[in-house]
Amino acid sequence: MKTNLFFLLVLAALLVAGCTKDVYDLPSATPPPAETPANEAHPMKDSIDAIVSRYIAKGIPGIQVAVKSADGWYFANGGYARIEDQSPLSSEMTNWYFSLTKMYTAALTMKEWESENINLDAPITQYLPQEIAAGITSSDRITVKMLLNHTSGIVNLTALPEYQLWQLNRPLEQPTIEERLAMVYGKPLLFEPGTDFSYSNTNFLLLEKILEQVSRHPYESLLRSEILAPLRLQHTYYNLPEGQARQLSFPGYYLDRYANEQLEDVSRWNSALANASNGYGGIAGTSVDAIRFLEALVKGQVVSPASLIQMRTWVQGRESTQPDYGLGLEYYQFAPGQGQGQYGHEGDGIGCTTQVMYVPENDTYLYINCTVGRQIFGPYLFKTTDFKKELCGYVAKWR
Amino acid sequence: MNLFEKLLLALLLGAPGWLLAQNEPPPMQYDVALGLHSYYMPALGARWNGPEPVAFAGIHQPFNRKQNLGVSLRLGYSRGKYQGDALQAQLLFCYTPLLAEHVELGFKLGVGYQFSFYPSTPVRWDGEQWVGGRPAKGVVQAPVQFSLGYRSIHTGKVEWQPYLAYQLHVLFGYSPDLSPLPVSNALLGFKISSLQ
Repeated sequence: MKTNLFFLLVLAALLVAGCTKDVYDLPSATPPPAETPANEAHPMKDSIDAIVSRYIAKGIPGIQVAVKSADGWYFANGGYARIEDQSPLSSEMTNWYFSLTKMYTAALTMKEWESENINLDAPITQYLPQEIAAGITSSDRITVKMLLNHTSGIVNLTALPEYQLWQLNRPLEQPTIEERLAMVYGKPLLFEPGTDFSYSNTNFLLLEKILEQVSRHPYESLLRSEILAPLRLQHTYYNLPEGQARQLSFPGYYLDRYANEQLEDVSRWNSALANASNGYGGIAGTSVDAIRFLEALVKGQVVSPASLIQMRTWVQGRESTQPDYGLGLEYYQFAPGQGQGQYGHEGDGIGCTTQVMYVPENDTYLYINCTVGRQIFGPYLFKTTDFKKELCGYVAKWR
Repeated sequence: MNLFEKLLLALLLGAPGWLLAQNEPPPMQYDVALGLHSYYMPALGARWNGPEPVAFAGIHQPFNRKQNLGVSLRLGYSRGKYQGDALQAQLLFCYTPLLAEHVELGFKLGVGYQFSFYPSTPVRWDGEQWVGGRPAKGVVQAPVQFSLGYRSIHTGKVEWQPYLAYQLHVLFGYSPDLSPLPVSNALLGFKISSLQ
């Protein structure tokens, strides 16, 4: 009996000793004052506010929306920046963009194409370091364009069990680029290159390596010199370690771990994950900067009209009912029967989901950030996806 | 908690009484093991990564004089700094033949149930405001264990059987995208019983 009691006491002591709270808490700076004037009489204001409020009432912790149209800017912020202290969201807060980054990487690749440093139809073996090309199955039959439009058939490294188990074991010590690429080496292709569509973060990690090999500059330097500086995007960041992220104003990020509608703060995990997402998801910035980049891209201030035509040449997967993807741009059809469709990109982290979209028919740009992740199948996947669909649908149909 | 989970818990909680009711020799043994655990499974090509402490304590009842068949009931605690701690109970059916003099092979298979906690304080939306959430989720385990032990060391009136073990248990229902979720335990333990 005494021995049993001893065992129970040991277990209880271990449990108490092990309780560490808020391991992912990431303090954040106060948001700066607004720089971009909003039109409080914007014609979309009431409808956007109503949609945001409806989904905040369903339990999305924080929503940030920015719209730019002929009527000017409008910003809607719903919920809290941090549930714990109920601090308000601000349109000046920095967000992790995640896969919105692919638009920037694609634009950098197109600029290299314009400079004739890259042939989009050349095999990637021509540009990748030999040790990387050797690891990718059938790399001699995969072209740069196939990376850009996800028709390479290369497996998505972030969907691999070894990557996901790493996330559980060491979320704050993310795998290096080499370790991530090693997870893909030798893996069979999902299909013959160029015959189908399958979204893969690996494609854009390889594009980053190609850009660095061709330009002989780090990705960050290229991004700064080719896009951020010319467009004066002063609130867009890449390679933002935790120490620097603390100096900026980020919202808290949340996860429904067990898919049971209970959220936990995963801000540090989300930050570490984003910062290690490189050319497929490593950029952070404000909503205004995201829209300003997409607007510059659409208006031909980033790449040439010929590049933009290539970027908007959509491919469609065998199972898809509508076009899927261009070169670094996602195709949407939120207003069926009304025009050519919309385009932009979505992003997903462990604690957030983002989107930026352009609607050609009404010349409107939309940015969305929800501060809860939807990568685990469950109620929050549906809540955030429904919200994005409803808001995108409203903006796409607005005339 | 669904019906299956309730039955499983009843089985786990009822097992000690059944074990203690076994009044035939050989005697019941206490089983203590310490080690490291990681979300890992050898076949997945994943890396044994970021291991954290795990501890088990329980009882083992051999069924026969050769002590090569038996059943173990264990309670365990695993530390999870990043994914939350866990309290677990396992019922394992054991085959432990002597491979050579004093060298015992072990193969254990069973069922388990664990309460998976959060690494930080969870909250939930009650329709009007954010309130505190439940501290843990119940998850079903399917454990399998291989071990190599030494039978046995005698000190006074006590018999010790040290062993090294590898246990893989898969979690069912952790979350829809992470089910089954493999967890590996590398354990150093010993069984202890009084000499008759």
